[in-house]
Amino acid sequence: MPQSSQFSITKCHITADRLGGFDKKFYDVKSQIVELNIYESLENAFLSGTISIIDDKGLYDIINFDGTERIKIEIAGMGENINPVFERTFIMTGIDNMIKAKDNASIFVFGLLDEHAYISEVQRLRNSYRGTLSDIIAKISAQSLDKDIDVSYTLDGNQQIIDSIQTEMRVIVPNLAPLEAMQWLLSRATTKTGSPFYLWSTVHDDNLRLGNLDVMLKQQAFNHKLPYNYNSANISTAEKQNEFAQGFTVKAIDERGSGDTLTLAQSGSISADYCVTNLNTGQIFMKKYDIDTLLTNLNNEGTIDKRFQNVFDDKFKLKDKPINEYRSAIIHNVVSSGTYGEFKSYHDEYDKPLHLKKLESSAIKNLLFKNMRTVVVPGTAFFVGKAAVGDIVNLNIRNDNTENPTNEDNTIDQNKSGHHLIHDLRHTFRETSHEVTMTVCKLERKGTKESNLSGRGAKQRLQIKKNSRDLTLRNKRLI
Amino acid sequence: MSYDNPIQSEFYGDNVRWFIATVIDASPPFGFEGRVKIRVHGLHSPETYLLPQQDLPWAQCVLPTTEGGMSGIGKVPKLQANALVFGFFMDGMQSQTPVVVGSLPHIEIPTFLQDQQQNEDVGDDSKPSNVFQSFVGFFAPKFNVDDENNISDARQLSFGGGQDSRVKYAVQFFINIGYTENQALALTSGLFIKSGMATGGSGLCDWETTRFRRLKMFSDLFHRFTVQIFFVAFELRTFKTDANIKLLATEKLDADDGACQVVAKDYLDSKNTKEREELIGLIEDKARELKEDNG
Repeated sequence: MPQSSQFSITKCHITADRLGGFDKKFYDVKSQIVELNIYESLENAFLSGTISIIDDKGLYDIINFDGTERIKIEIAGMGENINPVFERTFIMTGIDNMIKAKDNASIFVFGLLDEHAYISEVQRLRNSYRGTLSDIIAKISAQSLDKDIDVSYTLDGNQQIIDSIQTEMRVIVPNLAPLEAMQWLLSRATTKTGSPFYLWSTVHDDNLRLGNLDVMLKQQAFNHKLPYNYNSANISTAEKQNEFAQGFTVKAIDERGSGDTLTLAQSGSISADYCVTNLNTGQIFMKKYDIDTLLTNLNNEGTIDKRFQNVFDDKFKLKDKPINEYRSAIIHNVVSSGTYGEFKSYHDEYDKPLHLKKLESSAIKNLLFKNMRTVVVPGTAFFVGKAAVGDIVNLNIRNDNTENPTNEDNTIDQNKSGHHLIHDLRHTFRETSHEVTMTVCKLERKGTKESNLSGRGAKQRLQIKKNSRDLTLRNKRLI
Repeated sequence: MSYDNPIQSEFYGDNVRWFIATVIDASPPFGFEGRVKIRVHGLHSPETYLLPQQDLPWAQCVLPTTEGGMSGIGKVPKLQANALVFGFFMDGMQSQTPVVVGSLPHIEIPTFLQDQQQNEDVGDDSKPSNVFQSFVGFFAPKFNVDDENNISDARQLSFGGGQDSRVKYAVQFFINIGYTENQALALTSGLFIKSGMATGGSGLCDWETTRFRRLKMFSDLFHRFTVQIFFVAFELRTFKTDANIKLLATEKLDADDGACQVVAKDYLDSKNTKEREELIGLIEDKARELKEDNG
């Protein structure tokens, strides 16, 4: 039996420009919805989704569906909490699937896409920009997509923006869609530790969010004091629990393809030689990349506590040689300083060691993937706590061996529990149930976060988030 | 091919993307010897307001193995502006690092503009302004300007608002043909200081004998304001290419080697040092004023 949610779909209208838009003519399909999925991802600056509709009124034929229809979805709290928490218009991009349910009804699964993503796909940029990476990204966002960028995920504990360390450059966008161009530019941006930047979109507002991993990992979990709990007893006794406890129950957990050190080594994320030939001077620059140095830098910056990291086994040796002393990749790139006059190009660095940040950034992303798992939880707290991808979630997963616990900590699976970064997220609405399936990742075992959480960064970020996201009283209690 | 990582593969040679390009500028400044500025067909927007000439890359050129391949030894590339070249991007799909391998000899057929002029009577009067007729149609600002008032008194011109409209027209025109806002402001300010935008006497630039004769050869309607503005563009592309290259290369308005200095020194040809310094100051003041007015 699905647990009921505090939120449900309150409005679902379909129209098209040829029908005159929502003001003139629309079809209300709220009662015909079978399932609604909305996807968020740290890698995508837009929302997408699917909606399954049972059509027993011939709507598909009446609307003459063409992939240009708009659907307005509103989600609001039930009972006294009636304010909409989500209101968004998607473009219905096509039919993903159609099943003839019976003689007089079919189930259609339509693909949904944010309008700005659609606008992006019908444009190609091939013009020049100057400035810092974030400036250029903001410019493209404003000019091509008419979107603001929320930079609160780049603010450190002192409310100072931690911008990318890459200085001003001149680029010519090589025939890319605006969103594609922004992601291309973003892939070049790093903090001084080499942490990557992300640009994403959430169900909680219409802005695009720009953030870096250093700031994200230092955040307080949105459910810090109320972790999502998992043990088999939870599942079988869920209906007996009170409504509040049900809201913080892990329904399922799945882990595939994680813990793979060999793949990390092959990608050069553990150790590599990084070389650059400058065609203007003929000089070759070479620097060794080592995961141990990278983790030390992240530790020094307070992003992780290296003692508890679980992405690299520094005791692992092959033929008596630590794995990070091998050269598992030799990466060689070419730059030509001066191509854009006095400006740096996309690839140039005045300070040569900064070339290594390109590799560090991709290595950190790969490290996150090493500790990735999928968790299914009730969705209510995500709307109440305004949580989204880019935020931290606290999980409490019971250990598989609890017969002889030596202490209280032993009952908890330290690897699967603790603070995780939400990387991808799917909201699923069926009738009155709301479920969230999230892909989460982390760089440390549980137990490390106490030191990070007590840092000034975490608390002050929360202040910024409160101001910028207008949390309700109930949210404050939750956090 | 993935865009989402500055490192596309372990070895740079695995990423190659070839191109055809037109050489836009074959006179590289100091420090850029051996390079040519190119506009890549299909990748670099042909619209100069989207991709100004100054933002285009200076591509390195591959020379034959008969040359030394070292600094200061052997021949240099001799490509000319408008050459059609073949090359490849060293960074593949990211397409920021072009290298020119060779040129493609081609038979230059009339351009779109020239095609349109086929039936025009350009032979009899041999006025270069005819070539600029289409130019006017494409790039001239779409608002009315006091075109025919051929007075030489700038104050008289300013009473009817003619001066302001001419300033606005000039700035917009220079932006339309590919100059940046700062460059357009510097050029317009130079004309304003020289003549107050009055076309009478020796024209907008207070042209000296030879240049004024060229203006007369340029068009029979040389007294008109729009014709004189087009002549400024014509001069920059023909007799004043040095000034044009320097102007396109600068982005600043009033610093050393800024657009105002280039206009005063290289376009208006102010030879006397003292006069020149004074002229630069006046142009810079005017340009700043125009910029503030424009917001």
